[in-house]
Amino acid sequence: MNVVIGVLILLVTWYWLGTWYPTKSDSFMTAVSKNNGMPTEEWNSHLRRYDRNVPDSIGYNAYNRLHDSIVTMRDLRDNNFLYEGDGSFASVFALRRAINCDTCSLSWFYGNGIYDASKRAYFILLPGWKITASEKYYLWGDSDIFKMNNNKYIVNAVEPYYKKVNPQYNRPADVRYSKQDECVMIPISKTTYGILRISFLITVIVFLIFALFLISSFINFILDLAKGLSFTTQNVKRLKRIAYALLALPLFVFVLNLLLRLLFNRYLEGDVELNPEIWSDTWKIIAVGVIFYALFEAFKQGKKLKDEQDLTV
Amino acid sequence: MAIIVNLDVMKARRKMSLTVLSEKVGITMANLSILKTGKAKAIRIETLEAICRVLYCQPGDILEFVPD
Repeated sequence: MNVVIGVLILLVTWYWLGTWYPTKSDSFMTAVSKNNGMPTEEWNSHLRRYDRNVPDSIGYNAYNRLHDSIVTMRDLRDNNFLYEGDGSFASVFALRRAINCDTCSLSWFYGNGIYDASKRAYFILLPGWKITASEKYYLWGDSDIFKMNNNKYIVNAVEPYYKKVNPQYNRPADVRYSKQDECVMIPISKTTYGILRISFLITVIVFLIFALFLISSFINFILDLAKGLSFTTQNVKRLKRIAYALLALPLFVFVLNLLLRLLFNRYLEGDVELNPEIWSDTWKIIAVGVIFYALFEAFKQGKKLKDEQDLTV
Repeated sequence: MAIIVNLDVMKARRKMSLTVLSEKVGITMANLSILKTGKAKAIRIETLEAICRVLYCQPGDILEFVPD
């Protein structure tokens, strides 16, 4: 009976897979006809978009090069920087070194661009803080605005009501806005970047060593359990250490974010909020921390009972 | 500790060694040492009974309360 059911399940699965897979290998025209005459998402990615700024009278490779250059320039205007190197620490703090050139073409980037130190910009990123009104920090495709104020970064600000001279105006902002990371980028000098990079590296190494220490604590705990040494002072200490570290991590991240907000208060326009994406995984850490805390309490109680048992004559 | 274990005194009176006592009572030397040094947290009634039977004494001869 079981064999018959098994064969039936296999047949149904085979049929289902058989009817589903051929649709993935449809030809372009079949896909278009199935999708109300529009190219599907899958086929759309294979097609090169038509660009009205690039003449179609030139050759295929030249068209591609020009098209890519224009896309790159637009990306740069939208603050999609070409990052050279980056590093982030616990989604709180990040350092970026980027090529910052609003007018450079792709061929310039692939030529000497990467090595041109004059076009380099250095930034601190605060991924923990998100700008609520991000649309006022970058202006879509409006090249006139970008040429204004000598290519400075513009923020659309509102005049206080008592002035009433020009209620809405543009003024240069102290920060840039990263569309990729949805956070503010605070410009720093090359020296500051160098110093921060070293301290950043040291912090990361210290954290890694601490993380390894916690992992080794856990492995030793498991090994001790296997040996039959469950309710020992050492094990209680290990569990306490792991539980407190896990519970303190989200708190540490939160406090560090608040401190950074205070530290860079001058640069921020006041329309920032804590980025909810960073906290989406926090509950997992807290849950594991709570489990370890419960284990710690249980083992503490177990050790107490074991001691009492050992000292009963 | 307010409760003092006078096991040494009773043992000396009966002229019994620690080894013999542990054999006759049926508890280990380690446990007897815990009892003697006052580290013990609890004492079973059956252990007390066995000690009293071996040493021909009352529980009060072994355990004494001294206020701190």
